[in-house]
Amino acid sequence: MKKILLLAAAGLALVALAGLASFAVNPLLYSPANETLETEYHLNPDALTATSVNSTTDVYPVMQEMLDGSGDITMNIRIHDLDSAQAALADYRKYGGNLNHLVVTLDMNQSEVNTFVNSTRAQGDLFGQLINDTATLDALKDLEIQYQNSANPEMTASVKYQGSALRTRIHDLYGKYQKEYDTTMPISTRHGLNTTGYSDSLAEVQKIVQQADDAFGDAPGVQHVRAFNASTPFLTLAAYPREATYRDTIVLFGYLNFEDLSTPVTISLDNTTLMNLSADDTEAYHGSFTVETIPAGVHYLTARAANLTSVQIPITIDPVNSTTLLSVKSVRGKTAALCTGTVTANHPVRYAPYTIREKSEIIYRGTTDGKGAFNTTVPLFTGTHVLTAAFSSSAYPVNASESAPQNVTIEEIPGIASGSSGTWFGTLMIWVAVAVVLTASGAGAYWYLGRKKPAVRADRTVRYGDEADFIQPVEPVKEKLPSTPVRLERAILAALKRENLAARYQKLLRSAGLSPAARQVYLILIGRIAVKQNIGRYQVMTPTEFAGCCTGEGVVVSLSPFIAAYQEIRYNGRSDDRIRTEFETAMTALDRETKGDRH
Amino acid sequence: MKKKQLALLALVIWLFVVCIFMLLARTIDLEIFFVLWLIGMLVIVELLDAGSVRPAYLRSLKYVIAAGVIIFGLIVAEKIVEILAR
Repeated sequence: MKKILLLAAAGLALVALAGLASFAVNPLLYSPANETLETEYHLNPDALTATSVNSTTDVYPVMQEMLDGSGDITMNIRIHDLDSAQAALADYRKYGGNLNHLVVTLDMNQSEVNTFVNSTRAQGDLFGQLINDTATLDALKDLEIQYQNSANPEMTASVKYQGSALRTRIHDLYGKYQKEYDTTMPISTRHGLNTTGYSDSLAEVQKIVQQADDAFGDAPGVQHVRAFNASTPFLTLAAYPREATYRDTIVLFGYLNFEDLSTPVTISLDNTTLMNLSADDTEAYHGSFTVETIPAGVHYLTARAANLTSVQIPITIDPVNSTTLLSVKSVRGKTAALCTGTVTANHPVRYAPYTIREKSEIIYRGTTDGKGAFNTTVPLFTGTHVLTAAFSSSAYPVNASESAPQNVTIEEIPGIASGSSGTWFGTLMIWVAVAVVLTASGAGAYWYLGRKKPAVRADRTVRYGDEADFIQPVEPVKEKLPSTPVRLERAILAALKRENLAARYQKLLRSAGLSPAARQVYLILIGRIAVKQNIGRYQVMTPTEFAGCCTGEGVVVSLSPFIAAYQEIRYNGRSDDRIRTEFETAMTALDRETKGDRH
Repeated sequence: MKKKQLALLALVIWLFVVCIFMLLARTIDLEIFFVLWLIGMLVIVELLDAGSVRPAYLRSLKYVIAAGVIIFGLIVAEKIVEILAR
């Protein structure tokens, strides 16, 4: 049971430590979410202003932004400006997150606004799919022209079938979008929002459907795909574009003519697996990947499924120039500099390694975040420093770059908190407050250590038999407890007036036996010592404990043999003549010694 | 079960509860965690201290608590500096 409890305790401790582990290295003690007032201790006070959306008046502007954003996204998709569409979609999702936060904060979970949030979230997903499908549509149209020009009827047919499937999918997306539109529009109207942009978005999606119809409206339907069947299984792969730069999306598609269509199609880039795709019931598969950590140069894409392998498709990744920007500020109250910046190469370079250097010496290495930005505090000595940030990685198809040098002057910390007023009086008051608090805490600690329930004599310890712990014996109580030994002493003195100790012992020995007689004598004798040495509660102590208390000044030398004989009689149950003689000898010696003490 | 083991178990459970609430509130504050640990230690030591006998480990814990009180004072001083420096 004990082991189980200890194991449970250890388990709970491990869970707790695991929960804290992520914060242990760099704990966020002043998070912008919890600390809204700027203090000397905030490394980046600008971040505080980013967390101020929390009133009902913020709801409608965010809803309006989302409605207007729908129009922007769909218009960009329709004109095939997919980068702008992606950016607008990112904004749209950010507004959606803000609105959702407001709904939770303002407890509007049961309201129409919550329905609006859920509907717009679904619309965001539809926009994402529409962007991907439009990119694929563009790729298919280009490939169709290429294959027609190269007189490759097999691949031309493949492209047409895929175009047909894509067209069907875009029609489905339109249906889903219209359903969400019908949910959102009445809510927006009831809340008095301007729905012009939102109405336009539905019209734009209709135009996108029309574009798909124009491109592949005359393509053969899915049911004809099996006509494409060949006597032997085969696997095709096409990629578009064949030439790409950092963060470009390469669309992949092909056909798997194989008995078991559930066989996964593995796409490899230079023998490194990129992804696994599955063919649909039209035997077509498609997917895409974004060029990120692929070195510049020519690479080969290959598709594999079971024992089938497609032809290798060469793609060329062109390097692009990057720009590294750095901004440096000294950190208040610290000998450090706050370095913020970005690494971009047309797009932000995500999770890219960067260094911060002073002259040629690297003083910090880090990685950009998902937005290609970095924000770090670098400790520096006082004085003026010239820092640069640099990006260089052969893993990215991005050329190295270095920021312009930035000067920063680190000043000495002007003592603990010079105060916002900066006057000598303010500084003095702060120092006084700190001194008072520190003195109070020190005094509190001292009082706590000195506070004893019964005071403890630090120099007296008695070891209990097999117990590993040292036990501190009880300090004699000087005010209340002496009343008991005093009363007992009076009783003993009264008894001694009537008869001496030896006579009383002999009397008890004859009437009750050795053990009770020894007990009676023991109580009388230790009572004398307790009164002399001012030891409280001696009645509840074991003989060993009592002996432990009788050390130092006023030591009773006869006590030790007396206690030894007494323990033999009481605890070992001995009653032979030898132990009786030993006890009586020790008793006589102690009686003599303690009587002497009393005079 | 010995008092010492019981005290350890109680302290671990207390810290576990504190951690869980901090994680649920998404607010990990080491200063609050430290103060709550100190309070837990004070309560446990007071309950353990019988008066007649005092194990050596209890005496050691009192030194730990005294150090904790001083650190608590430092935290309070830091907060005062922070408030006055605004």
